[in-house]
Amino acid sequence: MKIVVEKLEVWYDSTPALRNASFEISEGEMVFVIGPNGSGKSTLLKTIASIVRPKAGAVYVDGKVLSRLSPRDLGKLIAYIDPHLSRSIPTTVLDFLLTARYPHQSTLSFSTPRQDLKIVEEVSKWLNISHLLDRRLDQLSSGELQRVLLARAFVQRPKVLLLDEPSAFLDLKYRLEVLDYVRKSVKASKIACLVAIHDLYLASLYADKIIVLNNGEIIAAGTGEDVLREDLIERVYRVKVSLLSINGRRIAIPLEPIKEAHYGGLT
Amino acid sequence: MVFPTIFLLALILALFKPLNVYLYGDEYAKQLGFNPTSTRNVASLVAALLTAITIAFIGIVGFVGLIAPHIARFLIGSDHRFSTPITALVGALVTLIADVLVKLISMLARGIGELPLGVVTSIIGAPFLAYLLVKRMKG
Repeated sequence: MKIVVEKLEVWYDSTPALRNASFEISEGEMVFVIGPNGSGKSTLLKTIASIVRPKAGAVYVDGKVLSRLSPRDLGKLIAYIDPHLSRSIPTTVLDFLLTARYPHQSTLSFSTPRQDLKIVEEVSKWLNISHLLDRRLDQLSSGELQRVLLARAFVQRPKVLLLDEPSAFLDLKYRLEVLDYVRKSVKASKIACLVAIHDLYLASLYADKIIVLNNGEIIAAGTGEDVLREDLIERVYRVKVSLLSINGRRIAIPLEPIKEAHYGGLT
Repeated sequence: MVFPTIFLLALILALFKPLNVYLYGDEYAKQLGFNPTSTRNVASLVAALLTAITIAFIGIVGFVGLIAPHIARFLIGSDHRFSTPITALVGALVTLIADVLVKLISMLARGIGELPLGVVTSIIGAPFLAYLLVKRMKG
């Protein structure tokens, strides 16, 4: 699946959230979106997931306009990992994962196909959550929940994968393992993958392309080496950084926030 | 009366999956291709009409609708494919037990005559409601 985003513009009432965003994701490619809080990363993901309606511009999936697709086809095609999941009614992890197969089933069918159970088993083995399947969703730790949410996306077998902060709450080992698994599946099933992330190092490790957002506008796009530059990061994040180079990857170490003239500091 | 009930029960079959997805919030449902607003509206309408039909026949019995789904969910989990029929059975069972109790009481204490059914269900239901409220406040 190839995604083309063309001149996307999103407003929340009278606040602009995204302006003139254009880029492309080819199949099997992992594109990372970075940017400070409120820069429009999640808005971009939600717009592609058709949760938020754009004011102008369009998203094309394999040449077809996204807004023309039926909700059901969207459900088969796109998985968006939403970190905010309602968990007020207790359900088990297995029940939750099985709901992700619904777009592929008839709404009226009663039985759960054996194949669906197999997919759940396979994915949960990979993400090491097999032992959590009969636990209740509201009793999981944040890291376990994060892996369950990721598993949900893969159980859905989408062609477009949108991940919002997949590394949040995960420990060092799982950050790498989970993203390794994401990359492997993206390459194997020719998924187009867009990841919003705060961890610049992980972005430089796994990204085929990095997009930098600031105030709803794309400031820069390119490979890790093009984008992770000291001046750019300082301008976007308003923090002094020092770039270290380890194994040819760049890591930004934040030193101190840049004092804004109009804030007047603490005095 | 029979036909509307059968029609509404058939509608419930179509609601199992939308409701299962709706448990996890509006955005999640939307993402999997279900319309959360129409799920909510249709489900409430069906529930209201079925309740109205029942009440029209047997009169007001309080708290059964509150206890039955919770017991069912505790017994069998929250997958609506299974919890909905079990909820109906549990509701019927609770009402039946309450009725037996009411009849026993009126047999033992002849002076009172027959108590309304709602008395017994309220005795179970009201503390249960209080428990749910306290739990919600703590959580």
